[in-house]
Amino acid sequence: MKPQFDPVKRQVPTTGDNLQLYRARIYKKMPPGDDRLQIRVMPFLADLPNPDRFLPKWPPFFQGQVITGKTEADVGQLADYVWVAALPDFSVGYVMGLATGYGRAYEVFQDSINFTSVLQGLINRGVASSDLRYENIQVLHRSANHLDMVDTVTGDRFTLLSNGTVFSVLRNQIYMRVGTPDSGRTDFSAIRISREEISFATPTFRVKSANIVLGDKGLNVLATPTDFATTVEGTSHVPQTGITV
Amino acid sequence: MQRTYLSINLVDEGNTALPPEYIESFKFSTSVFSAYPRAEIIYNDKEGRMMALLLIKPGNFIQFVFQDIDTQKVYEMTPLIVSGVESLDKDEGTGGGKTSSLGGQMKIHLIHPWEVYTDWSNQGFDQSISDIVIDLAQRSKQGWSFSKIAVDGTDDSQGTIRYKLQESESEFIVNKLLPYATVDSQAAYAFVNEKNEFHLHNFKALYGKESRAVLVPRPEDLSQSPATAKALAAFSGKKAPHFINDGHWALGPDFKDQIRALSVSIMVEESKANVTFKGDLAYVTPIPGYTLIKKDYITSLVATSAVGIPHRLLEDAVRLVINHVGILNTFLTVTVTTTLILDVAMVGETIDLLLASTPEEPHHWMNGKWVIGQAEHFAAESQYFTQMLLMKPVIDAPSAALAKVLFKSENA
Repeated sequence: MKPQFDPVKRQVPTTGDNLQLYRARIYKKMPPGDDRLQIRVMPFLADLPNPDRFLPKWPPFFQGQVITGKTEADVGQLADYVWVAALPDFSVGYVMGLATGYGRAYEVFQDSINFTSVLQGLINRGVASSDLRYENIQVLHRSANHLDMVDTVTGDRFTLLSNGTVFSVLRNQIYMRVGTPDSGRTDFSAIRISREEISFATPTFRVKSANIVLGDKGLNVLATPTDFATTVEGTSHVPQTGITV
Repeated sequence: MQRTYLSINLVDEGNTALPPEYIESFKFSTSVFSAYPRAEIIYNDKEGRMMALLLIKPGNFIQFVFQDIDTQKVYEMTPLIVSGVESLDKDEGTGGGKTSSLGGQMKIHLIHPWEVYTDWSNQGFDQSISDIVIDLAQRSKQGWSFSKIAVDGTDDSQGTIRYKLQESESEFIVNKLLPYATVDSQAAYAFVNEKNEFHLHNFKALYGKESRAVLVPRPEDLSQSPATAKALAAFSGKKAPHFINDGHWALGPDFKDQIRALSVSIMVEESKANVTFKGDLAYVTPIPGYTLIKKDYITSLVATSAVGIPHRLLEDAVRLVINHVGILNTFLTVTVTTTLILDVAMVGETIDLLLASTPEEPHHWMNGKWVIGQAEHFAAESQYFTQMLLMKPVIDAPSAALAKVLFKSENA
C-alpha cells in the first residue's frame, strides 16, 4: 500500500509516456486507403480475446513510409514480425519496420549475406573492383532473392537479384543486366554505359522503330564502298565511319 | 459507538469466532486513495491451539463484526483473507522465532479478497472508464461480491482501447484507468470502504455528502467561551458528538509541492484536430479543492509548434504532466483519533470538526466539514478507536487573499 499520509507518494505512478520498443506480429492489413497495420504485440497480446476488435492498429513510424508483410489472416503464425514503438499501455504506437529473428548471443544469424560471393559475382560482371569492402557497404534492404546496397565511401550503388538481374550505378559506369547469374554463359542481356561507350550484350538485338537516325552530320548512310561522301541526284551521303562489322 | 463488542469470525470454518481473550489488538485500515481494506490481528495463542489444529491458514476468510451494545446494531465489515501468519515471539540467541512452541504471539495479515480472487486474463476494453469499472466490479469473483457499487459516470468517450494485461482487475483500474479517469473534468477516486462497497467519485462528490457526526475536543479541552457553547449547541440533537482523543496536527506539510504542481505550463495536443496548444494552468482553483483540468480553468491556450505529448487529449495531457490528476486536488490534512465511529463515518464520508474558539476569534478556521480520506480502526488497551485522515479543500480564492480565505471558518 502506498504511504497514505503523503499526498505525493500515495499517488499511483502512471504507466509512462516514453515510447518503448516491442516485437509484434502482423495480424491484419487494413483496407485500401489505410496504411496502418493491425498488430499483435508479443507476448502481451498473444491471447487477447476478440482480436479483430481490440488489437491495436498503428501507422508507420516515419511519414511517407509504408510497411506491410505477411499477416496472421494470410498465413497464421508464420506471419511477419515487426518492431513497434509504443507506450507501455499500448494506447499509442508506431510500426518501425520488419523484424529479424532473435539476436541471441553465440547463435548463427540466419539472414546473413555472403559478401565474398556477392563481391565475386560483381567482379565477374565487371561492375565492382576488389576495393569494394564489407565495412563500407550499407545494405538498404535484403531478402532471400534481393540485395540493395550502397558503398558509403564511393557512392556506388548495387541492386542484385538472385536470378541474375543486376542494376548498378557506379562512378564510371551504369550497368544493367538480366539473365543467368553464371557469367560464363551467354543467355543474358546487358547494357553498360561508360563515358567512352555504350555496349550491348544480348543473344538477339532487336530494334523496333519507325525511324532510326545515326550520326549527326546531316544525311548519313551506314556504309559505302569507300570512306568518302557520295553524291546521288544532288544529295550528299556521308558514310558513318565509326561503325565496324 | 461508545460501547462496542467485536467478534472476529473464521467464515469458512463454520463462522467460528476467534476466542476474544486471545485477540490482543487489531488494525483495520482503508483509504480513498486507490485502496481497499486490509487488516492485521495480533493474536496471543499461548497454547498454540490454533496453529496446532491449523485452524488459521492462508486463504481463510475472516470477517470483523462490530456490535453497538447500546443499539444492538451490527456492522459487518468486508470479508478479508488471511495472507500470512507470523510469530512475533523471539528467543534470545536463536535469532528467529521460537523453536520450542507453536503458540505465542502471532500476527495475522489480512488482505481484501480482490487481491486474490480476481480475473487475471488478458482483455481489451473499449467502453468508457465508468462502464469498464462497473463491468469489472460486477463480475462474479468466486464466491464473494461487493455489497454495493457506486460509480459516477466518467467524462472520457468510448473509443480508446484499454488493455488489462497480466494484472488483476484492481491493478488494472488503479494503474490503467484511474490516471485517465475524470468525473466532471475532475480527478476520480476509486476505493472500497470498510463495508465492502465499491466507489468511484470525484472529490466534489465526496465533499458534497452530508456529515452525520461532529468531532469535538474532550470537555476538558473545550473552551468555555459562549461562542463555543453556541456552536456546539447548533450541532447537538442533529449529529452525534464524538470526542477527539488525540490529534496529529500536521497541516499541509506538502502544501508547497501541491502549489508548485499547479503552477505549470503544459504542452497539449488535441489529437483529433491535430492542433497543439501550450496551456498555462491557473494558480488558483475557482471552486474549493477542485481540479484544474477543465478547459475553462486554463488561463491561456496559444498555438505552438512544440509538440509535448503526442496524440493525447487535453485531459490526459494534464494528467501526464502532473503525473496524476489527483495531485491537483489540494488538501489540508489532519489526523485525529476518536472512539470507534463506524456507525457514522467511513472512508469517503464526511464529518464535521468543531474546535475550541476564543472570544476574539469565535469561529476556528478549521471548523467545518472534512472528507475522511483514510481510516484506521484499531484496538488499544481494550478500547476501540478510529484514527482518521481528514481532508479539506484549501484554495478557493485568488492567491492574494489566500491566507485570509484559507483560515476562514465555514461557519462564519
